[in-house]
Amino acid sequence: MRILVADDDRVISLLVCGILRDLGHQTLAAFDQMQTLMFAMRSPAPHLIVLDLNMPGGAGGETLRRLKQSGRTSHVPVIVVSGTGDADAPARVRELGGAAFLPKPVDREALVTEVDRVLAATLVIVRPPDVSASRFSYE
Amino acid sequence: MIALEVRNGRPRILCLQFEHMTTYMTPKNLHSLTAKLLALFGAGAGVFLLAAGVVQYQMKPHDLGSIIADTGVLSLVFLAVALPLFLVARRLFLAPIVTIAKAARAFGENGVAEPLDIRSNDEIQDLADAFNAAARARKKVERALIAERVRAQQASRAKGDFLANMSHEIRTPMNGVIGMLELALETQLDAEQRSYLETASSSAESLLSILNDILDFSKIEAGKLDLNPADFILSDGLSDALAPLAIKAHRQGTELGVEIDSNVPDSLVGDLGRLRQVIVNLVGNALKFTSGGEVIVRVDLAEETEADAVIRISVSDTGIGIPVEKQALIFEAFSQADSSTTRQFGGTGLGLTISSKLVVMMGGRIWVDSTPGVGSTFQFTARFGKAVQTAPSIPDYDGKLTGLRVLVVDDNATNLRIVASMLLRWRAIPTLASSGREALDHVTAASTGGAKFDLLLVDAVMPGMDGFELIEEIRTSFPGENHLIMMLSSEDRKESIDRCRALGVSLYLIKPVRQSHLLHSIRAAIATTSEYAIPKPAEENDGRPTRQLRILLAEDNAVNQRVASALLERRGHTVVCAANGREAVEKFDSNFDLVLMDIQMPEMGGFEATAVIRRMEESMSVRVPIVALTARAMKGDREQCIAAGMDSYLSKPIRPADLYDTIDELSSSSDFADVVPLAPQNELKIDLNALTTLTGGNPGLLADLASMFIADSRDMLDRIEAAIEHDDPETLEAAAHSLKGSSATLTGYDAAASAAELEELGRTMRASAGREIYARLESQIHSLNSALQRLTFRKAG
Repeated sequence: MRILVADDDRVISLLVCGILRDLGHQTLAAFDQMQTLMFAMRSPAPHLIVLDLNMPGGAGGETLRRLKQSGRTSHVPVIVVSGTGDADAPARVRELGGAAFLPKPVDREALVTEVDRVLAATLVIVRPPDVSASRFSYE
Repeated sequence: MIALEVRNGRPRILCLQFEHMTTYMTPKNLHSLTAKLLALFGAGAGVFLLAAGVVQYQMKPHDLGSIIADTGVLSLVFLAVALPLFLVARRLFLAPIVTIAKAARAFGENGVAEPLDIRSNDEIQDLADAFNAAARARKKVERALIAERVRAQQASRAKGDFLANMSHEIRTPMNGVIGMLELALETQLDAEQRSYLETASSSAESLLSILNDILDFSKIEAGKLDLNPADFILSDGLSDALAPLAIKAHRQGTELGVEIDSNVPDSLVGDLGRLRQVIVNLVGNALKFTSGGEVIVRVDLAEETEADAVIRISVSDTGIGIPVEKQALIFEAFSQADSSTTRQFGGTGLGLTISSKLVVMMGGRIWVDSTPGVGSTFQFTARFGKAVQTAPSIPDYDGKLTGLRVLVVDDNATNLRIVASMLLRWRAIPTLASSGREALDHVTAASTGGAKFDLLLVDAVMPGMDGFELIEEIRTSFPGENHLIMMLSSEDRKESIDRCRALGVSLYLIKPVRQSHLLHSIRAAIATTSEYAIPKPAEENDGRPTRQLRILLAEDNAVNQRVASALLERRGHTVVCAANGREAVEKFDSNFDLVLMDIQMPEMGGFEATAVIRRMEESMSVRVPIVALTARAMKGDREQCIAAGMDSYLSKPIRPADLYDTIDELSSSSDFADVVPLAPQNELKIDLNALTTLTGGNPGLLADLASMFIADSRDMLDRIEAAIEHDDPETLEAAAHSLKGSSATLTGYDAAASAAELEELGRTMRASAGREIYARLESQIHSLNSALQRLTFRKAG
């Protein structure tokens, strides 16, 4: 499955991508809100997004809100990973339409379980590839 | 060349001609040279004739012998006089002339002119000078030409470079424009704004395609366009190329079909990008000039050797066609069939020119057959190498789909055939239906025959009963059969997708369907059904105790139940599930090692069930630990759980680490004094076990993580230090937050704690108060880094 990993922390991004790739998924990393939105909207669309709650340019779930608002990305399930100390964060993520909330530091088992769970419960949409997107592709 | 004739005892120069040099011989030169030669030969001949006359005069018949002797002597005398004379003449006149002639010949033939060094102070000197002057003049012109050529080459190279740069410079902002418009269109807009932005977006797209054409054309003209051959999969490449066009085709109501002959080798070596460009151009044109009707791309094999394959690709449309007299012109630059065509349909008209040049570069040719009003067929051939090894991405048979019974429903015969041939290639068993009604009959027959389909591939748009209606019908008529259904659609619309979701469709594929996507999708879909399970990657032993337990799991939510049992089974535990408290009580026996009890369940809640179980245990003389699962971590939850007779509690969503820790804690012994603190206190700043678990036992990933952290943490420390120095709380908060996250990820808990303190200082606008904490953080990161360094070193070695 194609999974978009959006986290501005390169270490965590590498870790999450590495774990997911070991499971046989394809990953593409985005490092700020703009990239996340662009990659999420481009074809081929990701089957799942693993999203950091606080991205540069999109603090406090702004990126999640926009992903869920856009007709082109609203169907893509989002697993939010966050190191926020805010106790309301999981509830807010659910309210905004997030599929799951995982606290940081990232726990491999939890991540794998959630990814499996979310992917199993999702209608997968396969869009034909878009030639213009060839510069950034899932690997 | 000099020709002499001796007549009446007088030698005469018949002609004197220097090849290629006649223009350099002025009459005056010719005249004085002739005179000189005449004088020379005249003198020589005079001496000879005089001698002969004397001899004849004195000759008498009786002393013939002495005459002969005298003549001989005289001849010798003559020779003795003539030979030196001849040699002198040769040296003086002939040798320089021969030299000049040679030089002139060489000059004429090769254009090489060495300056002649002849000193004789006469006409020959003039001749040599004239020759040298001519040679010098020519050399000068030559040098000028060479200089001009170098300048031209430099200019051309500069133009080429400029072009290459421009292409990047032009494309980059165009990408920005298109990307941003795309994003802007996703925001809240009123109708007017939307229409402006949509126009801007489509204008930007057409501008980009025109720019691409112009840049390509100039590159080809400048000989700057090279092919980049690489391995590729023909069928995938074609699907990729046609995908965006299929959407366009669908919008204008044109059917776009692709047929690849089965004998065409799929793994080829060539420039896929350029091949794609030609195909996109031809299909794009075909769509442009066809409304309704169909455009069919056919691929077959024209010629095959051991190493090469010549592929023929034809694009047929049912469009307006091209008049015969225009057919020859269309591949020429700057000549669309009609200038009004450009106005009507847009485009630079360079597409076909570029295509024909590219085709030639690919060792093929391009031609067209067309009947106005009926349609056109563009065909081209291209030569490709055959890939020695099939690329790994080839969607080839791997055994997963053997015998899979698939019902394919599509009203378009071409599409039906394409999907069927893909399925056959993977050894699945396709059944074809060309309408919803027919599909329903097949499903009914299969159901009563006891061999239900494993998968239904349903086209969304069909006349009569469409795909959605068909699925609805199947869901209501065969409620227990739970068919795995995939929807194929040309539309990327939210309503369709929502409808699929409601109908329990597993997969929504947007056409054209790429072979590898279809294969992967089918594999992924069947993997979630029980019959075709993908084996999970083997679990790494992470050093945790692996005593296998028998666990009763009481949980009413099916998803939570699945997650929890999966987590437990991964550890080798046996799980018995109960959907509510009453069921849990019924299933409970003394052989369980542990009970996981949801608190809020229908029929009988967790607290009540726990009370019942505790009462049952009295007669069994056992005490099984019970762990509560609570939906929300509320204050007092724990106390309430303990009061109800439970041993521990976990808040949902369940974190696997907590679950395992709790189980380990409860199952290892009843002695709670042995609990080990979580963060290791020793000098090794990392928890190797945790890191190994984190990376799933992938040493490469661990090493990458470590080296990236080492590099990034230094930057982050610098930023934190600068932020404290300049009292910049925002930067401090962001940098400390980031460092906190990655340190904690790599089990640097103490560093994470210090970073958290700094983050708090930033949040509360007290950045400059962070100096002490920074010093601590720096040393913690330092030792964390050296531990990681050792780790990566060890892993690498």
